[in-house]
Amino acid sequence: MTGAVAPPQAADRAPALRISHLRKSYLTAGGSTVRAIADLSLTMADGERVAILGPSGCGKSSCLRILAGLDTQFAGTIEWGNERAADASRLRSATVFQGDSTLPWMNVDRNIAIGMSGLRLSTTDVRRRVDRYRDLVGLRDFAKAYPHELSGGMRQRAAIARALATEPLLLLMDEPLAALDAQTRLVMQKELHRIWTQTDSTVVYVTHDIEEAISLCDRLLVMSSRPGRVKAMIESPFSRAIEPLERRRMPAFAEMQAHVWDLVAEEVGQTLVGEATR
Amino acid sequence: MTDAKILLAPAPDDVDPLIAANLRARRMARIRDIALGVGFPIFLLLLWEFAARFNLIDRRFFPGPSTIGASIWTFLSTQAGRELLLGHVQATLLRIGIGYGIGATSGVLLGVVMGLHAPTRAAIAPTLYAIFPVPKIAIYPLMIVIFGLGDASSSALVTLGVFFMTCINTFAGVRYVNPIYHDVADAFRFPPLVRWFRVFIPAAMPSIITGLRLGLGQALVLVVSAEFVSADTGVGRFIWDSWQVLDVPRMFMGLAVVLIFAGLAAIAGSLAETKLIPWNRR
Repeated sequence: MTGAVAPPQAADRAPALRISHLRKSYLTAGGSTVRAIADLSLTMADGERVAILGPSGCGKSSCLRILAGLDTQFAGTIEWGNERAADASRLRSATVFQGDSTLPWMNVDRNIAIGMSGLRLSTTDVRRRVDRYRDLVGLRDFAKAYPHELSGGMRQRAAIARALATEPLLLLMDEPLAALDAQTRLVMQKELHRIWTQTDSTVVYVTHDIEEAISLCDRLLVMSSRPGRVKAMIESPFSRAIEPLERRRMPAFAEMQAHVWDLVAEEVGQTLVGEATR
Repeated sequence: MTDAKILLAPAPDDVDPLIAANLRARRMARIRDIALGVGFPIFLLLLWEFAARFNLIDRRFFPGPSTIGASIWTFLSTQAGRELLLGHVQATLLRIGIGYGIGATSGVLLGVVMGLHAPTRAAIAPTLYAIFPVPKIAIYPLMIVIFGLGDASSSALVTLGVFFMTCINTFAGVRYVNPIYHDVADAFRFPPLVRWFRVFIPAAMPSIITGLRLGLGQALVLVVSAEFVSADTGVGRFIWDSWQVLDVPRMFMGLAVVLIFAGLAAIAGSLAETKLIPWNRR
């Protein structure tokens, strides 16, 4: 990143995203300043899956909101893989939120279709994408169902389909499985792995679940406690093709889990360690 | 409605006896609730009848329901009586219709704009909330000065009352929409029209309908009050005239008409709820 020596063609795949020295401060209601992110840099290759891990309040959600375009007040630069960014048939980023974000007055298909309302697409294209991504997340039989008729996991699938249907350059996920029960979460991890592979998605995955991060991602960015900075960047020992449940059975999994936990625990601080291990 | 259908349907023969007993218990509970809901007003009417028969209340002002019913029947069995009442009803409905139409439309529109556009909100909200608690009937004299006696001033009064009710409810509904919908609209870069008509207005629909329902009640109160004071026609006028000539049964007939209006308004309101916000049913 320091020298402009290497020509961009040298890389296998062009960088999808380059975040340089991102900084973010908030003004509280009381008028004081809170530094959320002190310094965050990250370069992502196309198709890569990066998890952002860190203690509560480390700025991981702030970072995601900035990438999602929900927050435009920040310092530092964010460069997008530019040759496709101008394409009006894809969103630069699409977000899957932590809580239920489906619109209750629309059925599944309409919920997916409305995500594309900001794109320049023909009705046939919208139709085609709705069919494709609704089927991909396993909601084929629930095309006309309303969110209140679906389980939490199914609603989250609809939200995932809505994000995927915009064929985003970057798929942002903010603890998308946090609200689900443990069994559903495991099933959904497997599903996410399959879906990302089929769509060749570039993913930023915010979570505080270490196992989930290792199960799903190629690299783990561990953030320090507030104000957040990059504490460590850990490469996953697993090849991308290995699916979550398989990874959990491999010895390297426990090893990496212990390693990441040590890094996170240092940051969480005594009181929070007590809470997390309770 | 779905619940009622399920609960009132006979249980199939092959169900588990425990579940059958459970279903029966729920059906009984539902029948009991309906019986209580219908039975209580009947009980009140009987009490009234009893009190009138035994002279516990002044029968000149409170004749029993049977006496009132009989004289309503006599009144309505003449062509002239029917036409007279129908004329008054039509006059009232016209005033409500015009006032409600204008008031509800403008109230919802301004409420939505205030909810989504901060400068409009900053400019209008303080004035709106300051004027809202003023009893609308208190400015009726001004309405008469501006619109004259009769239809126009009554409709204007209704418009005003309905406007405030719908505007404030719509505004609150749009303003306090679940913040996640703002995030979705921003993150997916929804165009403005999609934002308004497919996200924020539907999200605020429960509050908008509450405003519309309260507005209808308000309209009824105001139109009858206005007719007491200034109109030559209308159900309010009919009640007031009957009172002035001490034709108490006729006065009660007017009250019954108002009661029917209120009942129809309540039914329209709950129909609107089931049709327009089916996802909001609990």
